[in-house]
Amino acid sequence: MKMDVNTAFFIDLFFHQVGLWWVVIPSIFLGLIVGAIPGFSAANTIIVLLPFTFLMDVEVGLVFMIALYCASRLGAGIPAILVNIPGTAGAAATPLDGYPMAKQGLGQRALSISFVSSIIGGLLTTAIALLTMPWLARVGFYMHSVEMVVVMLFGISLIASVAAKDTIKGLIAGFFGLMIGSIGADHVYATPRGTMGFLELYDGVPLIPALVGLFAISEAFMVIETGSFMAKDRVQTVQNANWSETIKGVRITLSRWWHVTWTSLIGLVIGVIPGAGAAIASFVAYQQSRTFSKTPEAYGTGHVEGLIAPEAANNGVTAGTLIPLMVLGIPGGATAAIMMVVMQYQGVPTGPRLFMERPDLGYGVFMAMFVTYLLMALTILPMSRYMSRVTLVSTTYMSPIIIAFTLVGSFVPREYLFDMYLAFGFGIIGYIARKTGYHVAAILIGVILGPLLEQYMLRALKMSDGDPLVLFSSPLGNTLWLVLILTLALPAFLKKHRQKAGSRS
Amino acid sequence: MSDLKTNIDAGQQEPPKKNVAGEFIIPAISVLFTLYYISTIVDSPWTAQVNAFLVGSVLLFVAAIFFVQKGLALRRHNAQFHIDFSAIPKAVKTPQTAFIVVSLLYLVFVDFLGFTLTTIIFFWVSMMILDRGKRPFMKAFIATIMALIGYAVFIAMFETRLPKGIIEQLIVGGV
Repeated sequence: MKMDVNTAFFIDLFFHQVGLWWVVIPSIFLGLIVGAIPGFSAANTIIVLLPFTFLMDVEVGLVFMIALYCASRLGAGIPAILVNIPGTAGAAATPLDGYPMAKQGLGQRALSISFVSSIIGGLLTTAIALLTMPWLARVGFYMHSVEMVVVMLFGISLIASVAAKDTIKGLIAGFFGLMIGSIGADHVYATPRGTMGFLELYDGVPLIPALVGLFAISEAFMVIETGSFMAKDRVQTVQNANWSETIKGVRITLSRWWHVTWTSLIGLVIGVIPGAGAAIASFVAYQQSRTFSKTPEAYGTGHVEGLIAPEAANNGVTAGTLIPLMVLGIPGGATAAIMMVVMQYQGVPTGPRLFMERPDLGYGVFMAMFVTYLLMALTILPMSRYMSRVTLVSTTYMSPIIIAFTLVGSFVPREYLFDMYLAFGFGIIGYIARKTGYHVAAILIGVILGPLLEQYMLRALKMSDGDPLVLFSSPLGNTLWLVLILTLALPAFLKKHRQKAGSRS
Repeated sequence: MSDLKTNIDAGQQEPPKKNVAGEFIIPAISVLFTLYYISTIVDSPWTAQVNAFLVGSVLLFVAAIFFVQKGLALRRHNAQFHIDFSAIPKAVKTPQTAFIVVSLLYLVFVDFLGFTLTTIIFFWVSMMILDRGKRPFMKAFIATIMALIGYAVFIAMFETRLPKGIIEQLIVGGV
């Protein structure tokens, strides 16, 4: 099929994708559900529904997968904000400021901010991806193990921010997480390390049980003490909330358009790198947002920008992940890999041939994403008012429901009963950590990013026969090192600068 | 006059010292785990060791700072290390402890009784514990509905291979 790719082509494509609303809207709702349940993800839902996608027309099948994928990203933030349970690792940074807002009775506003920043982030990055695909795809070529080590350190440096109030305790929690993340067979010789004899840990610590245990289960145990997810004096605020709270959330987010823009761009660039993903993007975006904020001390207490940054970034990842698949034929993540299977099954090429033979499909995937985000604005935003009422449900009912369903969620990815016990174990660790003033987010950052850091570091060291100087051997890597050092030093510099300015005035 | 003296004395009383005993749990677990981890890699190739020695040594160093810091605070009487064993029997009887135990039992029984039945029982028992036995029939109804929603979502819709028991067999047989 030979087509001219011009403005008329894109306009046609847009209206064509809008015409597929009957696929997009049900997929959005399904995506919201699977995103919100820990353990489920767009990838494993698509796998379950793979036979149906084979029966669909290839275009409809792709639109279904894209809509599900985008909605699941957004859906993962909902329980993270309302009950401190991130639906996926990509939403692990969302409760840092989202949940404190919900606790203050501002759940509806927090959801609205999360939705709008996700939607704008998604729309913006999709539009940029459509226009700059060939160039963005090259980012993956320049990012080798050395550069990735620095990118991982950007994420891990968030531990230092989380630990700002009590550095020693924060560092203990973060490095404890990194040690837990090191459990499993080593990446080169498959030597088992720290597995305590459990075969189930040879592949490393599975992420979902850690996520579920540290956040959900420990939270379920904690809220029993208070009897409510929020302070008693805030209940009335939630009960009386009307549409104005949603509109206020929209207004607040739009007024911080620049913040949404640059944090979503972080997501887009990290998304392009195969294997990086939404978790690292949201941690890096949160860390950068805090670094450049005028009020970094307010992060972690319900700061609007602390909520915008991870949500915009993890939705920026969605477009980024698909770029290597579409342009180069290299899947950038699990969902992209499944899409590739569907495309191959239907005889559709990926990579440069796709844009020569089927530009309607190549560009259509991104246009479908654009349309999905537009339709999400119409369908999900009005729901924030009703969703926020979850926080009013008594913990008598919520705690058992959280425990049972999140334990099942931890069972889902590998279908091992062991993972349910593991989640419970993490729940106890999380509970002790919370009770004694350690930050569970710091432990989780270590568990998520630890194995990735080790993997990239080992690759780099292996290539150089164990010479650690390899980490400073590439110009791009060195630039990233410099940026990392500046990023770490900047908060102290800015603080001093502000103090000086304050004393002068 | 004596009242006034008592008030002055009370006003001059030092604030209670912070009990830091609980804060030692996470560092202690971290250190023990790190030492165990290192013991598993002593004879391994360097590729298996490099990360553990980097991360582990920092963790041990930071934990050492923590112990010294707290030790100094205890020595200067700025904090106290006190484990109240007499409070344990009282703590064990709280709904929170009972709920944690029931949650653990849920994991044990789900393998034998199947997902749906265990979940119904777990929901009902937990809700009764947390609400101190109020409205048992209402809670039984909610527990059943929620467990059936769980069945519909996890087993029927997403075909998760959760442990099957009598209810799953009945549903499949009925269908």
